Amino acid sequence: MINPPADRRGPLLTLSSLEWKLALTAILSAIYAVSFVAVARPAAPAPMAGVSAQASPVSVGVNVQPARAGQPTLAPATVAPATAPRTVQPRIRTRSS
Amino acid sequence: MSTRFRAMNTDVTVLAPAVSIEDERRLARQVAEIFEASEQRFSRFRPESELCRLNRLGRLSPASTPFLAVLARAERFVRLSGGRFNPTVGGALIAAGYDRSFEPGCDQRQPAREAPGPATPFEAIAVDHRLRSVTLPPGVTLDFGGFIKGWTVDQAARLLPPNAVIDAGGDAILRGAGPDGRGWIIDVEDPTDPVREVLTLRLRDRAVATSAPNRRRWRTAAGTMHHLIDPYTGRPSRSDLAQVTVLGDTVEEADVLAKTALLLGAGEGRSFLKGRSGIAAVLVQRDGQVEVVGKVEGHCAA
Repeated sequence: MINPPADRRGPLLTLSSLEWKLALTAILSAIYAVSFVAVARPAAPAPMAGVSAQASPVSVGVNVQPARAGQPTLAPATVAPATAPRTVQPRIRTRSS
Repeated sequence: MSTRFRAMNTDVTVLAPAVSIEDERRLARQVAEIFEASEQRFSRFRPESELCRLNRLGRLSPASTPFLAVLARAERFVRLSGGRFNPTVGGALIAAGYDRSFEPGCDQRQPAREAPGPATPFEAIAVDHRLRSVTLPPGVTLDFGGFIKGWTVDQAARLLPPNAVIDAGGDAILRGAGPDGRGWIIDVEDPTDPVREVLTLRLRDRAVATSAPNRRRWRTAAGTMHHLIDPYTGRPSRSDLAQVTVLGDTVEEADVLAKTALLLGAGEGRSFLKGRSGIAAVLVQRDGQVEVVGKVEGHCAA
């Protein structure tokens, strides 16, 4: 019977110094990759109570005229539903005539 | 719904959403009769009107009660405007080519003659209330212009129910707060582009009138003319303002103040309007700048 050399009697999973470095590098790389994905894609905020979720504003190619210098900016006026003719809010246009 | 008719060479609209359509139409017929009566007295283009007879003969006797009343109102606004409103510019209008009625737009005409110079002072018109007679100084022709339209709207406004409007081509009296109770929606037209607005207002219990040279104008060999004659020069105004809209208590007042401010120009016009009780205005300069003068807070559209 031939005995194995003394340096071959240790655990079978013993790793060399180079192998340890490679394994550690792989583990650190995996952790970095997971944390990068988490930062780049933050979770959507929970909607506030009473406010419905809305899609992000999307340009649809409407030709919006820029306001001229000094021109007050006003929101569009609310118009009553057209289902009630006598309560429809008419628009009156003032101009030179 | 609204009821519309044609008078004073413009569209007149009557809106009375709180009453039935039948009552609104009846109201509109009454308003139309008031406009017709005004034209019969004050039109410069109806040969048998009191104004035409006065201009033709130089004397009117007896003058009707409404005619004497309009002269008295006009005198008040001549003083208020420092003479920038002066009905004696009729001769200057004719000299510039406005010698017959026409639809708004650019027409081709020839000036009848050279501009006659500064207008005759209004005080030179002799009015005898006892004899009910009016005598013009030699060579003077009267034209009340948009003032008569405003005065007529104010007269007709006495017929209106609490929530209603008379809109005479953009000069309007507004009663109540409109169908939704938040004020009538008033779009102030962009004088450089009639399909756009420079501002939208919400108004209640107000009168509104706009003055601008962009619609009643015509081409001549001497250049483009328009109907806003400056009494100080007897020629069409060269103001740096393209349009003035005034909010006031009556349409006649709003019309005179808007015309006066336009003739004065941006600087003096602004000063003229500022501080007047119950008055607000929207000035549009020829370079496109829009300025609100006076208290319109609470009137602006939401």
